[in-house]
Amino acid sequence: MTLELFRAMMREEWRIHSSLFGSAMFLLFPFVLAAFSFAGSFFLPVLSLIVPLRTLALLVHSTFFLFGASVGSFGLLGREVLNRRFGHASLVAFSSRSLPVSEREILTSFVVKDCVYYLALWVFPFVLGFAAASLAFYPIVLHWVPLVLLTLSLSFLFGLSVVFLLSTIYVRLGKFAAVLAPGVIVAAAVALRIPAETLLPPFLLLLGQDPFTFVLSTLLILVPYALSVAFLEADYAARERRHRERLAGAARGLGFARNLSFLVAKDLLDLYRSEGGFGKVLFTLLLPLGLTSAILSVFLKFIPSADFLLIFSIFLGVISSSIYNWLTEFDMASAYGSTLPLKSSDVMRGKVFGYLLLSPLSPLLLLAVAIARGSPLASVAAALFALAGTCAYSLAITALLGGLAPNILLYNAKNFLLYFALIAPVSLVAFFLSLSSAPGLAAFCAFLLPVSLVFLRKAYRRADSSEALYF
Amino acid sequence: MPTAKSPAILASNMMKSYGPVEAVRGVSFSVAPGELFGLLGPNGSGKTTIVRLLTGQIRPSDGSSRVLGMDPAKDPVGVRSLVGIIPDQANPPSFLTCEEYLEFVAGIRKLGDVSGSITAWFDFLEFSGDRKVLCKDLSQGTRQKLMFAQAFLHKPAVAFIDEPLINLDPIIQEKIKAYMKDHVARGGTIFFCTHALEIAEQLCTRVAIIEKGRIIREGRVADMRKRREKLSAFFMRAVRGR
Ligand SMILES: Nc1ncnc2c1ncn2[C@@H]1O[C@H](COP(=O)(O)OP(=O)(O)O)[C@@H](O)[C@H]1O
Ligand SMILES: [Mg+2]
Repeated sequence: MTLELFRAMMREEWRIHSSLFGSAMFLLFPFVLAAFSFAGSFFLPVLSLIVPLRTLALLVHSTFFLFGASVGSFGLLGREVLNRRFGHASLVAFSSRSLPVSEREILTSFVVKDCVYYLALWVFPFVLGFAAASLAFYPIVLHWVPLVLLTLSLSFLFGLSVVFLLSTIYVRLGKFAAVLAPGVIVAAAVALRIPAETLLPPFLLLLGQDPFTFVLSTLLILVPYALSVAFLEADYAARERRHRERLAGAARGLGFARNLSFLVAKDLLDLYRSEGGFGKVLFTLLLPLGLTSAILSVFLKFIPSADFLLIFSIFLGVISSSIYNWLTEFDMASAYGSTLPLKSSDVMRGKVFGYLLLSPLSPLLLLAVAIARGSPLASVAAALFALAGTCAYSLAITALLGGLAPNILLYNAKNFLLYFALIAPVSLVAFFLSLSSAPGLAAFCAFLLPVSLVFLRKAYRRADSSEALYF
Repeated sequence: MPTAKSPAILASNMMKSYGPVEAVRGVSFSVAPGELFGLLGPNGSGKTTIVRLLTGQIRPSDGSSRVLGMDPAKDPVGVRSLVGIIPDQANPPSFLTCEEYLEFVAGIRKLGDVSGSITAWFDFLEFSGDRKVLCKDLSQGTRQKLMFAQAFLHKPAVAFIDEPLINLDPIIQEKIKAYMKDHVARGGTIFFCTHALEIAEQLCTRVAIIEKGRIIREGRVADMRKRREKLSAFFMRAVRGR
């Protein structure tokens, strides 16, 4: 029964993605990723001159850990997200409420399915690209490939299971405990002067390659997961809560959005009422930013002319489009077109408006970092310009390529490449300008604003010309 | 507003194909104001595709249509602002409550203050208890009630209904049938897709039978009654007679 359920879920996932943009484009996605990691491997010798290989490996493993953690948090949301996106009818997990399968089995199938998909789509291609490069050019490191495959997969799964456990703690013991538990562990590690990497056993496995670390890593994945499943029930049972009427008031408050006011009010309510509330928007910004800051502070020691704040603002700008992604997570364009007098572009305009309302988050983050680092005023001003330009640009590109479903359309190989081709050169130019001339950077980013407007207009037109509303 | 003579809905040789799949293969018909027109056919025969064409959600590969005098392919928003639609899959926004969803619809349709009629709908379809429940937590039947209220909130001249009564209990079904009959008696038009023949027989003034994207038979239900022919017999004769 469980196996059948698992197969049905795999098929469903496949159908969702392949029906959206053809199975070829979906199948190509991992190859594109492998090609990127293949190309990236050629920088390894150069990078290793600047940063010790061990530090690089730790960074990559932490990235996969955080990636697992974010997939885990999406997966949790996923239960809600999938429910509203595909309705009861098509989601196996929900239609199987009528089958003689326990919720534990459903969740386990769901999690295993997600793991298989993410390992196959992200982790394996990444390692295979690296393997191909080492096969061709540095045969010495070839024996590392299976090991790296193992330790990266374990890092990913570790992140996933930690988040699962945290969410169970959250549901069972409350918000406070969920923040306290990891806080205590990190504080203890700092107090006892335990090196950070000890908290990431899969990385230790890469270093030590001993069976004890392997068993430890595996247990650290299985035990939290088993605990989460054991204490699942209450959190899974449908909570039929009653909610106060807020929409009309919110729409009135958003009157300045004119004919978009109801759309914007609805999007913000979606965000507020779904699991995690507005906090998840901040979280998805902080998580990658924390990581990039860590990476940057390692690298920038070796580039004396670099201004951390400027580079940080470029990263922040590129990442900030995740706010738009969140606003698109909770509805389907088809739900509007099939009943209401709305065009897809109206819906998109509403989401862009919602983005603008939430976007002050980015400059506030930037200012917080600037204050913490005591950055000079001129640098802060240039960074704010850089942020405005890159924010607008990444939003426009995301809307153009991802339409009203950026989190799904990313898995289209063509879109993924186009996204990269449109974002990477601009980020690189901004990066090099940040090294040479802050005013140059500010001017370049000011120029990005009208460019973004052109792309955004194109995104609206494209949304209306497409018939593919059915998700 | 169309005059008594101009049809509420007119389709001329409408076609729609998805790659190699010909979902609708040249369909022509006309529905007059005040008719409760039933489009009957087995699963996959093209009913939902026709509703989507007539409400401007998709564009025809060939042919054209008019709804209240407007071309849904050219002015989908104009058509949808006048008509009411119950789509085949009910997907109200998940994180709004039932009440908020109806307010949302009223807001988008610019209906002004509708709190009175919203309450009336909750009472009429007997789901006041779900007023403050999020749409994602609704049962399938309640969701259909909500979609029904949503479609008729603005008292549309034309309503498109795609298989609406499936999950409703008999009492509510009767209420909805009575409402639909009353709606057309007062000059409204309903385009009703279903494969449930008994319901169509009780409700419709005229039916068309569709199979594999083509309309193979049309008839007035009153004429069948005169001939003492059951709709199911009419249907079987149409499908077999080909
Ligand atoms: N978006 C689509 N892409 C491809 N084929 C479709 C699409 N929509 C409908 N079809 C096909 O068109 C035919 C008619 O479907 P539909 O109009 O939904 O039938 P009905 O509503 O009568 O059950 C079916 O064979 C269906 O598979
Ligand atoms: Mg149908």
